[in-house]
Formats: sequence, C-alpha cells, structure tokens
Amino acid sequence: MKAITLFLTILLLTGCGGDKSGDEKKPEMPETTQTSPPSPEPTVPAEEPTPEATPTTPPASKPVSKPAVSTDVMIYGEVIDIVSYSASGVLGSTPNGKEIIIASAQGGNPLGILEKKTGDVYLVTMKQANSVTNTTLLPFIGIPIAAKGDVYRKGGQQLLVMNTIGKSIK
Amino acid sequence: MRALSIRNDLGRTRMKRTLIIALGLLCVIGSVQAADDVTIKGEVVDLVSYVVSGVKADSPQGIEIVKASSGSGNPLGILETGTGKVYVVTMKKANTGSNKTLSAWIGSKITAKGQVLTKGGTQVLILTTIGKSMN
Repeated sequence: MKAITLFLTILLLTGCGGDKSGDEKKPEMPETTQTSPPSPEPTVPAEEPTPEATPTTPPASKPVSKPAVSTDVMIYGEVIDIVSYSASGVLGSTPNGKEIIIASAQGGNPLGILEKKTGDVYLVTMKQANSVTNTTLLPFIGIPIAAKGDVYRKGGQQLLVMNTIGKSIK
Repeated sequence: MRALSIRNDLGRTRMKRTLIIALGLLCVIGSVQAADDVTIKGEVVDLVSYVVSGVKADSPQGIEIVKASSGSGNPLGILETGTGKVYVVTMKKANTGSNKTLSAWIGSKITAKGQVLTKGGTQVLILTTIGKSMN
C-alpha cells in the first residue's frame, strides 16, 4: 500500500512537472511581459528629456523645483499676521485684531494662514507671478477662508503656494 | 445692613476677578518679554524660493533670484547654519517688516540677535541687531 501511495505521489509530482512543461509551452506569456517592458522604455526617454531640458533653463532663472510635499491641498482657516499671531495670538476676531493685522501687514510683515483644524501656520505666496500675497490676503482678514494650493515644508516652515482663496462656507 | 454686606461681597469678588485677570495678563506679557535674546548665525534667504527649491544666495544667480523674489514682495528670512532652521524675521520696532534691513545682507554670512517666537510650527525672530559674521 505504501508503495502504491508513493507511486501515486511520484505520479502527481511528475504531473506537476508536466504542468511546468505546459508552462514552458506558454513562453508567449513571459514574452508578452517582455514586450510590455519595451513600452515603458519609450516612456522613460519621454521623461528623460524634461529633466535634461530643465537643468538648462532653471539655473539661470528658476531652479528645479523639488516636488511639493502635497499638491492641491485645501486649507480651511483664517488670515493672520504671522508676527502678531506668534507674539500674542492676535486673530482677526480678537478685539482690535483686524486693525493690528492690517497695520502690521502694511508695515511689511508677512500675512499667513492659520489652519483651523491643525493650528498650523502657513507662509503664503501666490502661484501667479506678479501678484503680491499681502494685497491678496488683506481683504480676507477676519473671514473664515478656504485656500487651495501646493504645500512645501523646509527648515521648520510651511509654505502654501496659493492658487485660489475664497470665503469658507464651512 | 444686609444690603451693605452684599455690596461689599460683590465688590470683593469683582476686585478678586480683576486682580486675577491683571495677574494673568502680567504673566502672559512677562513670558513674552522674558524670552531671552538668541544669537543666530546663518544667511539671509528668500523664504519662498528657499522652501520651494532650496535657493541660497551663495552664487550670483542665487543672489539674483533672492533679490527678485523679495523685491516682488516675498519675505526674506534667516537660514541658521548648523540646524537648517528657517526664521521669519520682523524688526523689533513695531509693525516694521524686515526686507529692507535684510536685503543689505543678501549673500553674506550674518550674525543676528533677537527673540525667537514659535507658534503653529513657524519660527519668528524679532530682530534686534544684525551684522556680518566673522566665523
């Protein structure tokens, strides 16, 4: 009986081997997978020219930008003056807060956005060239806002490269 | 007599409240004022181009970028050597931005002195003095 079971198992195993040989019959599958890599290959050279093209222009005008930490982020919060907020927690809603923020911003201090949910402070710059951030943010002081853009982080600072800003409905 | 004692009690509680508020305010103001002056060694950077692309004013092109960006209204800041921390800078004189002062130091190694405030993940340096670093 033992011999029979052994024989059967050997048969089964060889049967599996037969399957493998069956797989060998299908080298087309691996071939197709091999053919598929060439298709990514053309995409690689397609990607390559862009880095090649960028180094030629950026050093002169703009450096190659590292990828944003997060893109198209929506931030709900309010406009603050970074200095008076850090020093005394001044908000647009605090007594005389609006006046303090406007005076500070007009004096040249940067306005920013305080995220409601996290309490994080964002430095802000405009995505559109030639638009001044403080001028854009000033009308939104004391109003709950929703701002959209790309967020970059470095050296302990968070920067929102802002695309759009509007009154928050939330 | 009762009315008088009630008035006295009310007066005392009001006095206590005002005293507590005044003391609280003193504590808050004291904590801000008590922050020690810190000396930071580093260089002036344009906050936007540095955070986005790591641009430093260590080459003629870098200086151009920093000047152009800050000239268009983006704030200058200080990048601390060693720690890599970036500070938003304001002048100790009330409501005065720092770009005018800092722009004179673009491309130089500097030593800045002032108070550091940290809130909401951002660091602000209330600048008292700035000069060329000898190190």
